[in-house]
Amino acid sequence: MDFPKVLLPGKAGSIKVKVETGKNPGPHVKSVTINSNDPTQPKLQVDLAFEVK
Amino acid sequence: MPLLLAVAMSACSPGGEPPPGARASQQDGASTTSPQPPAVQQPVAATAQTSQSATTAVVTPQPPSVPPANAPILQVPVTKIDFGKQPKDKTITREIALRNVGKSELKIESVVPS
Repeated sequence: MDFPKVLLPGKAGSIKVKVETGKNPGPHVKSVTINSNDPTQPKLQVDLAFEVK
Repeated sequence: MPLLLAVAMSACSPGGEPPPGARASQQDGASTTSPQPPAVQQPVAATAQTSQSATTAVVTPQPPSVPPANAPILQVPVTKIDFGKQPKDKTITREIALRNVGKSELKIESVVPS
């Protein structure tokens, strides 16, 4: 996964994620956890939902 | 009179010395009908601390940390992304926006899929 290692105060960035839908039909949710030195939320989870037709 | 003498004798130790707490001004044979105050006992400590130091503290060295007011803050506006209906065996690519709204450097240590 491609992501910035350091963000200075006030700076923005992005994390590029790739999700494979697979073969199983129906709803799916995959997650990524962002580990950082933010003391209030050292682990932040982002959910990626999709439905395979 | 005989009754008073009996009370004084029972309060004395076999050695003839007055019991602790007895008034020094009292003479032998003098009556002391007032009960002796109970001896003050030290409370027994419930902990296993020694008497040398009851305030010994074990200090665990802490790594230097940024004060909360100056800490980095990770802001991710969207924490749930819905890709909707997708075909099978497709690779979806998306960028997750993030920003440091704190006052010190934000370090992204890792991004782990689950």
